[in-house]
Amino acid sequence: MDIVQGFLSSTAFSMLSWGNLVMILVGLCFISLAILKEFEPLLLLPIGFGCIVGNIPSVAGMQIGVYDPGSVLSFIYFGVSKGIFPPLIFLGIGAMTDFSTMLSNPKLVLLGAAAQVGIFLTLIGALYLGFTPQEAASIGIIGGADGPTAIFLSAKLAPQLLGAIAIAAYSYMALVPVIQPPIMRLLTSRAERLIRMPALRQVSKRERIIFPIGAFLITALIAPGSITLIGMLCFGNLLKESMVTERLAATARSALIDIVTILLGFSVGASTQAQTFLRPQSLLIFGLGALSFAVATAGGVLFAKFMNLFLTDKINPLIGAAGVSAVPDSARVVQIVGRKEDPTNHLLMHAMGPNVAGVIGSAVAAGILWSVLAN
Amino acid sequence: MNMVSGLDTGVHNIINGSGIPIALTGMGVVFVALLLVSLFIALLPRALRFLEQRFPEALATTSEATVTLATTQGTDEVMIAAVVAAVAHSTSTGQRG
Repeated sequence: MDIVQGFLSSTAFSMLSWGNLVMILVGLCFISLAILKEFEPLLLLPIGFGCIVGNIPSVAGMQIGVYDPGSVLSFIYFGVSKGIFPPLIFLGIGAMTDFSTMLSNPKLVLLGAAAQVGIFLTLIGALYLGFTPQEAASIGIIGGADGPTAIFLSAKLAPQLLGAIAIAAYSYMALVPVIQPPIMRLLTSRAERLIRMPALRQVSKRERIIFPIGAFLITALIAPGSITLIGMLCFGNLLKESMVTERLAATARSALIDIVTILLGFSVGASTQAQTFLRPQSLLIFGLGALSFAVATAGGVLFAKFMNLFLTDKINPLIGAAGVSAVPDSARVVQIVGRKEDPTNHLLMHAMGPNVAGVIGSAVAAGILWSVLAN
Repeated sequence: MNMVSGLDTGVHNIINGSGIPIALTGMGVVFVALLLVSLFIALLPRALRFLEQRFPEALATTSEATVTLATTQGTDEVMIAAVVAAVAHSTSTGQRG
């Protein structure tokens, strides 16, 4: 009888808290969104299942959870907590990104810079609410709409908030089609949404090969903190564009990025144990993250309108919203919103320019914040 | 004090944390970095045209190599297509060997 009682007390049921149940429901919600609505399924499904796994309580003394030293999950989570996975994802992104649209219209790069305003305004907001500068910077970077960058910076500056920031960043990336369109419509007139942009010029092979080297040198020299992320992004792109390392590029953009995404998503999900995740600060992080993302979207759109004051060939301000670095979701949203006004106006390729510039911009912003606040 | 989060809220946090200088400097550096990237992209085609005029031989060799490679690949593809067509033709007409 004692053995049966001992066994029953060692089951997870006896240790399950209401917080664990809430987080398991959150995990189920993520899985449902991924499968039923196809919202970022590659991310939300691993994160959702990780949430469930991470919230099954284990017996004291057993090394199972992400935060238990020596457990299998802690070794997988090592890639997140030490910032190893994000640069590998950037390598894959570089190997799958075609920078031609950005190279054919360089002024659109500035929209990728303007959208980073959300990061820095949210930093001020988070400071006001009492977060430390390191925590505030990590929360602000959610506005870059770049999950790997958010994880990279919070792993360096505020590891205690990593779970909440990662979940917030990926949730808002998944919600790009929901959050951005109302802001885009609010800040633009119908006439502006109807603006047609001239066809993009052909970009030579040589330009595409030289660009990742030049862009890396410029950004790394200005913001050395961004070397890891931008370096891997540009390296991946050089593998692709050089045409002599096709096998490496193919691995980076398929097998490697898929493996890292699985490990990152699952272990981030498993890190959301109720005891560490369900705190009032997490709610504030979610609120500030949404604010950051909205401000970033508005910043891009408003800066596009500002640029139009000086340009003879006007740009459609909707593409400013793609300055956040959710590639290619933001560009797709721009295309959808643009086509609602004029079904024959295709903005996707134009929006890809600011979109990939946003990836560089948020990585540079993360590098600056890291170098300023690391000590 | 924020009763919900237990955090100490207030403008003094922004001042003590150097929030405004960090935000302004950060935004400025991001803009400068991407402005320079933008200028680099804008000048790149011109620089390449200039180099092509200045060192036509070196760049011509590269172009020639590319063209040769493309032509070779093209020839291979044509040959493969010809072989497939011949096999298809011989199969459809019942020819063997």
